Amino acid sequence: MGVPLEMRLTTEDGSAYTTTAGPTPFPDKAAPISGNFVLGVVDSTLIDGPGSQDEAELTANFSGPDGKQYVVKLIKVIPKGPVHPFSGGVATNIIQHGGTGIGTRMMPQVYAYVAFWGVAELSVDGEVVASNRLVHGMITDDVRNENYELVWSDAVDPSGTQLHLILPPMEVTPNGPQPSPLPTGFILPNGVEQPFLHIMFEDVSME
Amino acid sequence: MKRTMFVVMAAALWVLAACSPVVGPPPIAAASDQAAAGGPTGAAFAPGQRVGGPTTITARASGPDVRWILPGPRALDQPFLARPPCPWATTPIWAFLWRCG
Repeated sequence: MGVPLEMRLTTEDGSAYTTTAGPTPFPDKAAPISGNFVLGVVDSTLIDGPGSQDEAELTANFSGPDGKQYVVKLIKVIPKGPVHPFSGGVATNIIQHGGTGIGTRMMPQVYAYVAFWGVAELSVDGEVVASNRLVHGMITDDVRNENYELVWSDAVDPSGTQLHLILPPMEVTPNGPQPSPLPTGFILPNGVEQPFLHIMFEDVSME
Repeated sequence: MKRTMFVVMAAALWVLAACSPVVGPPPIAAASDQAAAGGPTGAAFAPGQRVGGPTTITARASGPDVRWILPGPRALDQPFLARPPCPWATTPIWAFLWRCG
């Protein structure tokens, strides 16, 4: 899974690992909300480079668990990945995550109908709070079971489709992505502001 | 005795030579091999180069079936990482190879 040994918890007798030691954006916990999105992509370019002709448009509206209203708007795609290839900014018909080397291994290895990487603007209750945020979206087979637990690669369900929309705690700067908490305005029970957004839209239709 | 061994070795070498692949034209490369080598013309793919026709997708969803993922620990792969007890008197090297603890 790629988690360093010191960041893993074990059973009492130390015979098996249980979970990561700290919180991640990939747990089994989720709050029901409502929302909508429209995504349009043109995947023209396979290889990363500044001349990529890939295009994407995304607007996602959703409520937060506390009732705040959020809008994520894609400004542009990023045509070259700093850590792994971005397929020119938009990829279609690819396998990601798991052991592929594309994306975090905390997600199961999964087929993606479409994926994109870009720069997004985030608005909370009608006010733009950030306009240089890293965003990654992908429409994949269903990676969560009936209890909404994130499954392993061998249990991904191809009968369902989901849009994963994640704004990690990273901002895009002239020097590349830099760590930076996302100003979500959503305060967790421990008093800390949630530093990322990971929104899952179910029952996605595509044409 | 030495003469017998020499004859046997010579015969073995002859058999090996006879069974080696015949020199001929190289096999036709599969499309994937050509791509890995930089395409049929030998030119490497250029950054930003278009490959094939564009794919256009429009997707949408709307309604209450949306989830806000809350921060939390990620479960680790138990079946892969679990280490069953080793048999009695297992040496460390066998414990490593058998993934027991």
